[in-house]
Amino acid sequence: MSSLFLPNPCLLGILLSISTHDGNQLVFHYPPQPNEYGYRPTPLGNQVLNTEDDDYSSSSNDEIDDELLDINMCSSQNGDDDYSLSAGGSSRGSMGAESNGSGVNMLGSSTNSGGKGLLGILDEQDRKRKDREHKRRNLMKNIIMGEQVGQTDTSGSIRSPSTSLVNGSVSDQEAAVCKVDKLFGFDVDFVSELVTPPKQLCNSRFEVSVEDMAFLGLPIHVDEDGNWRVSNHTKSRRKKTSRKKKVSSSSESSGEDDDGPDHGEKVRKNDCLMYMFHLVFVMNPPVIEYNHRIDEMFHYIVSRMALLLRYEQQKSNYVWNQSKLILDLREEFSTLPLNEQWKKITEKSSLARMMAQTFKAVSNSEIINIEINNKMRSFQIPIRTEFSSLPPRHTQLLPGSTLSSTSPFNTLGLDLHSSAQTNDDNMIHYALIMLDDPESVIRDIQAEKHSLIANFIRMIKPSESLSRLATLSGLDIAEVKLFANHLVYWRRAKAFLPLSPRNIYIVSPLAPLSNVYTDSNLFKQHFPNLPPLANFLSLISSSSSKPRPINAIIPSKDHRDLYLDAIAWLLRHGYITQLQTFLYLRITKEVKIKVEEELEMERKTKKNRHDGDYPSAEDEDDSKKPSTDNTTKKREQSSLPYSLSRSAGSDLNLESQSKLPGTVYFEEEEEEDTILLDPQSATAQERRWIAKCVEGQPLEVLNLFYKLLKYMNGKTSLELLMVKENISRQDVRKLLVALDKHVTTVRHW
Amino acid sequence: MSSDGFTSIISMFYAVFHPTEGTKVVCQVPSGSIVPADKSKDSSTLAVPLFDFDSIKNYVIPKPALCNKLVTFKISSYRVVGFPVNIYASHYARNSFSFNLCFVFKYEDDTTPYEGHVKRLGRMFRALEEQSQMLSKADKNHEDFFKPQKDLEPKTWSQTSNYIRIIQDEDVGDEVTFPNQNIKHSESSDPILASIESLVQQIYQDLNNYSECLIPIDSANSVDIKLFPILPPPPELNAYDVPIATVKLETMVDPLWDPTMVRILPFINGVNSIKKISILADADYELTKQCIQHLIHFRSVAVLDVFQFSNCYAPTSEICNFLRDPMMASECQGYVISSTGTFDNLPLQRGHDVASNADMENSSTHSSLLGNERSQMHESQSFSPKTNSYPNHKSAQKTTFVPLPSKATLFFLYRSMNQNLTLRQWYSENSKLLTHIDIRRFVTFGVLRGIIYRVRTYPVSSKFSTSIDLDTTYTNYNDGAHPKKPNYNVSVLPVTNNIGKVSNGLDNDDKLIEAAESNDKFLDLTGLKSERLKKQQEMKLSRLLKKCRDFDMICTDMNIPKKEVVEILTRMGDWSVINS
Repeated sequence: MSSLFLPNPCLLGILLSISTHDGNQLVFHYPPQPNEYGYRPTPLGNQVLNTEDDDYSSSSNDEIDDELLDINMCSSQNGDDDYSLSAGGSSRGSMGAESNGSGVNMLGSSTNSGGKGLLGILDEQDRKRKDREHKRRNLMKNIIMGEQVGQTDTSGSIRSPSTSLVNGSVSDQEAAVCKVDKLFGFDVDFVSELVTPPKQLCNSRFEVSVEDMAFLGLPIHVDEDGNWRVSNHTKSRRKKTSRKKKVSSSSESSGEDDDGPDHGEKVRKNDCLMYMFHLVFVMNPPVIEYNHRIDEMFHYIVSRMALLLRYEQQKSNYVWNQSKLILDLREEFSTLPLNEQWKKITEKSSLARMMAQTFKAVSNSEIINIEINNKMRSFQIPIRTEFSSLPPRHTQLLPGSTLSSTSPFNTLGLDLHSSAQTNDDNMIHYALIMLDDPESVIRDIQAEKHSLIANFIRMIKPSESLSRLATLSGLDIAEVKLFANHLVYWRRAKAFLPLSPRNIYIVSPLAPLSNVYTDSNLFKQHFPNLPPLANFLSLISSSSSKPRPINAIIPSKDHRDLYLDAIAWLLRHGYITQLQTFLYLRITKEVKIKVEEELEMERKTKKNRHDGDYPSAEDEDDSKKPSTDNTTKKREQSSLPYSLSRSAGSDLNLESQSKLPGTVYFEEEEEEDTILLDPQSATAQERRWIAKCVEGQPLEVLNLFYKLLKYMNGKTSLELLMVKENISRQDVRKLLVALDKHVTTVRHW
Repeated sequence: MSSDGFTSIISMFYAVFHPTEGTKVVCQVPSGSIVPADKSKDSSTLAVPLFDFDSIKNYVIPKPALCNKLVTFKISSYRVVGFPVNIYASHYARNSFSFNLCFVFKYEDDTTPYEGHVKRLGRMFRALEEQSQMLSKADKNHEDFFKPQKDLEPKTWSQTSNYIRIIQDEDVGDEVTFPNQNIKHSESSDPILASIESLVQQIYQDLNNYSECLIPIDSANSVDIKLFPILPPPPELNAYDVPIATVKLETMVDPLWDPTMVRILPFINGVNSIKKISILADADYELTKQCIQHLIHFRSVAVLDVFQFSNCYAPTSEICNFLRDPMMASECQGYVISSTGTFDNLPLQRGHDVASNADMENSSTHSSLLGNERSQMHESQSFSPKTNSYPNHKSAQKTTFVPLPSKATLFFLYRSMNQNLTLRQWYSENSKLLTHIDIRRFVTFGVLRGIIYRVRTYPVSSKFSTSIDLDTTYTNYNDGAHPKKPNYNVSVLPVTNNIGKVSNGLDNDDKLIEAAESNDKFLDLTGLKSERLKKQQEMKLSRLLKKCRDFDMICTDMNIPKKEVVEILTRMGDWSVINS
């Protein structure tokens, strides 16, 4: 529960398996030697916060990765890999660390893990721990000595055991041939069999778990007509030609080359001997998060990628061609060390590259950007950094999470099943704060320098709402919304109500205060003329007996922009959150009594006037009342004399009934104030109450009151209303002062 | 969902690998749920199986690599959880016997409470089969599972003589179905387990109805299952966290309970912090903490803050639930009401002379105690003079009627808290409304229901933003001072000057003055001692400050009241607070 808010991809590896008429084949997997926990889940305690949300993707990181992978891949210890990454590619998130932790020594031991005894496991854990400790110490030494290259030494020393480990059973080849026999503790052949379900299970979610390790995928099976997609424009029907070629499984489709890649729009069916392919994600989610993590991965990544591959397969026979290519490459490079092999393959095959990129990005909870046939595709598991209510104490969150109960962007993309956007029209009143420099965002999303979206991004200002941006840029509001959604969803921007010096901000309960001194330097770089971060926050949070508009700390008009910039910075980093005002309408008992009296009077006069002319109508009226009013009505009538006689009495009945000896009795007050929950759909009586409340107010107050009445349900914030209904602050203040007794304000985020 | 929140079993089935027929379902509950069944036998037979069994055969009885592990898989909208077992033995027809007892659940349901039990059942059946071929022989045509007599080695299994003789009577080929006449023998040799079918049936029904089962199989074995939810590990706690019981803990005590647990139980009252509990109960702090964590894990304890009048609370976005959830407000009424307000067990005398009260009112200190006094006084003045007599409940045996605070009032009280308002200020502002409300309970209720939250106060100092090497210099100082400790020498004194220098010159002057002062009385050993103590405290505090801890944490960590912390802070230089 507590860690559900943290990204935890728990991805062990990605497999691609295909079925041809010759059987199943595991075409490719990444990483070459995946970690495993002996079917155990990722330990919960290992979660590492990925503080680098803002830093996605840049190609330089990938290069670093590759480089480091080169260095380290030869070693069987992927732990190495990770430590060096955190040292070298320091800008990279550290999420990878959690998926490691246990080295690949498991690979060897897991061959007999079926009957592994407890002692064995404990021993192994012990050994691993020591190993890791050792690694870390080495690494620390390297860092201190300032030589990263030292890594090669370690990897070199481990190389010999590693190759002997993977050599395995390739007996007829030369001893140098590197081949993976075991994946996740299973024979490679068995793995491909495991992830190749019968046709009935295809084209829907596939999930098999062995202990706590799950194989998740969406197997795609060709239909009878040879189509991969269920498309409406049926293609010319051809009978499936029986396969002519018999490719022995040992030579692994080496003879398929002559088929040649056919990039025509329609793929001849006999070009493709494959009838099923399956991209499988192997995960080991923690037990208590199992369903959540699996759902997340399937919904955001697995299903989308599978459908993308299906589309490409249908269009250009992509998967089959790539599979052939990969198998050929594997054959060709089989004499190279494993990691060389993998490097070469990922260089040459776009599908293999895609799998590698996906694995790296997913395990770091980054956005996956892949290119297939010159088209850019992006996937991500959204990261939860916006909360509408305060998560329970002791819950771990990503630093910089924001808190707002009203933001229509909060649920963006997070809801797995329903994507109904109810707050859609409020969205345009929000403003965006970019999480990164506009130019680098434009570069990252690979937009044209002068495209619409690039210009839009340059225009974004924290004080301008989307609707205003639309006017300024001349873009259609729908388009602006789309862009905004896009930017927020892809972690480039956050949405807030437009900044104004009159807004009230508090230090967020989620503020990452333990970073306050480290962030202080950053803050100083941006705002050298402002007080240090800690003091600035202190200024905001504790300068008076109640939270005040930010205006109060701005020394002069000239400082306004500077301070607002700082506010934007603080909002972006989750240090502060806006306090919004919510309205409720409170009907005091005095009002109720007055209304009751009036009704009584009316009834009497009516009776006098008509004298029983319309008794039925009146009865109706009477009988309706108890049902329309929630509970207070009946009590109220009976209690009327009491409350009339002692309207102020909070200690009713005290003397009259104090004769009985004994204990203290509690009793409900007979007449209570009522807070209306939904004034918009008020009953007849409630409407009378409301009317009574505003009796005698000047017309402008009345008008404004009735304009705002439907929002007095504690759901829409006054700050939003003022933008939405275009009401000035003075008017609102006037209203609140005039109706002080009746309008209850509540301040929260 | 069964009554206690566990997902219910949709179906159970027991499948074996038959030497001639392959994977087949031997029994299923409910009938017809996995493979079509004869409707005439059982009227409750499902018309259509839940899914196509053939397509999952390979996962029900998988290859040996997957055996003896918990294997689950998805089929249509169901999740099948099983523990396939594969036993190698020479007496089996194919040298091995494979079976799997599978549970079927709805796909999206949480099956974790069952998984351990499925594993355990699988292992137990495996043991039973290895010991006495209980499963293989339970089949009507169990001979199918065994090799013909020529390959048999009688010594491999117990109580076989009977059986072997029968088999030897048969003239068999390679794979022959044995006639039914052998059944009674096998039954007589294994009388306890009437049939797997009835066992499966009983597990299915008991677990779905009672979430537990106790089914004897033979004299030594039984299927005993009780479902437990798998809960996330409890959070790390701090010494200043205050546990409060959400269930009646004292009624649950068992003589077998952990002694520390029993010991600390009386002190869990929503007032004492964990540290204090450990002190009061004379128990080890770490053990106490673990006990509390256990209680949290089982959701019988929730965590609060130490109640102080200097705390700030503010409404959360959930505060609207107080109005929308009809139960919450009335529960709150019942919980917070108190005939005498917050301070009923204080020796408050009603008969205070009015003059002193008035004095206090004028003074700016709003001690909580005074607040109450004042409020009561206000009431007595403004409403009825007669109430003068009522608040002294302990002595008076009179019945008093206390008006329940209305829901609107309670809501108003909650909403009137804010981020910068201490409870003390809040109380004095609203004391009139709080006459019959226990503030501590009021706050507890709000925090537990999430309608208000504790605003923590973090002391910060600007000097940490600029100096990074403070820690090292402090430790240097420490090292330097240590060896000289024994002989309270004057030479120690310059150290204070050092300190002044390292702490970034901000409080240099102060330090010099202090040093000068201490120089004056350098012969006064106790003064020297306290000076050193001060320095140590300052160091500790600055370490805590650098981590940006809140006052609660600092106070418990340093074991001194907030007032003293504030004093030290002021001594150390500029500081301010962040309310978050």
